[in-house]
Amino acid sequence: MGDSLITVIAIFLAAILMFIFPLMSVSERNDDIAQLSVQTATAEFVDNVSTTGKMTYENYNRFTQTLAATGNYYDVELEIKRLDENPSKKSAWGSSDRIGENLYYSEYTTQVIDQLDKDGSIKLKQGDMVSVQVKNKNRTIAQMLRSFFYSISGSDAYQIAASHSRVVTANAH
Amino acid sequence: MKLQHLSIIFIIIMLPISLIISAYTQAQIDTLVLQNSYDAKLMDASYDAIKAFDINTMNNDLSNVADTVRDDINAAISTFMTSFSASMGVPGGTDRYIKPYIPAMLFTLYDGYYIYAPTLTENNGFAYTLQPYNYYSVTYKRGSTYAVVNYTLDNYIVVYLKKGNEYEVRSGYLIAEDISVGEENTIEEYVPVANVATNEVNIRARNVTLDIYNQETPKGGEYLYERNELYYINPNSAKKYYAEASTFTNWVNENLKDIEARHAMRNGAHIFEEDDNTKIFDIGSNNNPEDINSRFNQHRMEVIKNSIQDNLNYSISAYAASAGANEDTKYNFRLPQINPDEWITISSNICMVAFVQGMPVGTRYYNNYSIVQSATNKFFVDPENIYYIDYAEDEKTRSYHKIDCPYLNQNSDKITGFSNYNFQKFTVKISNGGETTKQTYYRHREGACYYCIVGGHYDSDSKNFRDEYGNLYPENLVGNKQDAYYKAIGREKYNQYTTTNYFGEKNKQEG
Ligand SMILES: [Zn+2]
Repeated sequence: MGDSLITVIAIFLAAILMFIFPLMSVSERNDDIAQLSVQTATAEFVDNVSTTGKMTYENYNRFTQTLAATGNYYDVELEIKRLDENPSKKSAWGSSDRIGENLYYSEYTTQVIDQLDKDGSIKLKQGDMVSVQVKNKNRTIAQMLRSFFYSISGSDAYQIAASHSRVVTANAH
Repeated sequence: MKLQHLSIIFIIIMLPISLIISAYTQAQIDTLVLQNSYDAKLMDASYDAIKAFDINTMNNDLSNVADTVRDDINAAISTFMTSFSASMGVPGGTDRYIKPYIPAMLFTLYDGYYIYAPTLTENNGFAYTLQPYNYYSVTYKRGSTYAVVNYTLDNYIVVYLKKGNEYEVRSGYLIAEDISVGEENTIEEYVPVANVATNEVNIRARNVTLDIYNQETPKGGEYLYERNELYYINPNSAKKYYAEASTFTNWVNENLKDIEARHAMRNGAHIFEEDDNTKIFDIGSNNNPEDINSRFNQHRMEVIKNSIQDNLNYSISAYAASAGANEDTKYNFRLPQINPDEWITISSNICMVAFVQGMPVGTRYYNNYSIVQSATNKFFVDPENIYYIDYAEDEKTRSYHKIDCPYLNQNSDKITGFSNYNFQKFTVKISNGGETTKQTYYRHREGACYYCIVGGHYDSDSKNFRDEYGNLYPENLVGNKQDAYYKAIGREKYNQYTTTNYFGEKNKQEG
């Protein structure tokens, strides 16, 4: 009786050790690799916009395809900050040495995507800012396993996330 | 063997493997994160540098003179080094630790380029210096015709021609066809005006197409401060531009028509394929020097690329050969592959390219380059950087636009375009009785249009006169916009100062 109980516990433990543990380990590595490619893709996309002064539909597509290739779904947040020098020009008027403050106004994901759909690309100018944030939307296997064991929850627990932000260095043609 | 034992053995094997893989992946991620942060730092430092260059040259009336450009470039380099060092966390902002990893920097200017590279000195140290200026030049040899052509970032060239025993030097702009433009509008700009009686200097709106009036030749009791030539715009500039360009183009067609790409030589060696019979100087509507895809332009960019590549290669490998002795950087420096799109950028814009190599990053070496272009400068006229004002609009509400903005009224006959640097802030130094004060002002009070310039929107009609890469084809512009476009280009190019303007005198006499 006592012996068979121990055997049941042993089998249960063995199952965890031999199955769940490697699975967790592999899925964690899988997420690491996904993280790696998400980070690279995000940086590449943003840097390209920054140096060409242009965000194109093709580049955005290529970027989202790279993300999809990791096997997860992502929330992609785009933000374009347009530099507006007009207010600084007004405030500098007439004064001898004053340097007015430059203002920015933002365009967010839906606006940006709409414009990409409509025009095929978005023109930017030197001094504008572009930033991209990527977070995984689905729960990865590693996340599921982890939450099963240590029950981590909460919306902030992203497994794969990358953000990149750059100033635009060229005027688009 | 019991199941428990099996699982223990399994764990003993799996655990270290898993740990090692985990550590390895983590190291890769760390390296990548570090690499990304270096990328950002490199780009930011480069951006700071080109901004410094733009601002310095903007307020420097002599900035087209080679020696002052050297100073401005040296200032830009030191901005780059300081900014890069500071962001890399080098204490005290000294660039001593950064410099060994920078085998070369490149500055492309209007008619040539500078390379900044470490060169070995006599006592085995490195001197970081700006090398002598290189022109975008190439030699063509065909029979008894011998020609050296200096290219530029646009359609302006200088030709040193030797036919038999006869020499001739000419310079000018190449155009596909003579364009007749309408009368130039009156151009009013805010400029510093000095009162003859009181010597007081104020910023006033004046008609700068009217007359040259200097201290020696004041007009209405005032003169333009400090020298009028800086502001004066000849109202016939555009007409003269097309007339002289057309004369020059005819001369080129006459004398260089038969020259083919295979005749091009540098340092005694042919630089194109032996059977490349592209006729570069057969200028006409099927070879329009202002069209980026024309034979002329493709060849021009190839020549520039070829020259830069040769000299960069030389500089970097010379550094690599001597850097072996350098404790800081045991790295095999070499010129990285620069992709074709980037070459187009480099050979058509004022650019700074910074190479960073051999910098240890995690398990690897950091190896990258940055290309930043100057967006506002006085060195050359980029049609895309000409902004247009419709003077028929109310002065208080009007703004400046790109030519294809729908808010720029195509039916207005008062559209005038200016190179974008004219909309920047200017500083004038006013000396009054030994006391010097600085005053900043704008030549044009108009603000940037929120639709086209600030917001970067496309006009849906743009597709009619732009190709898929965004290149503008002015012949498709409608209404008065076409005339405004040709006038602005002509005027701005005509008033563009180059050190070789002198060789263009003959175009005036014949034209
Ligand atoms: Zn506009």
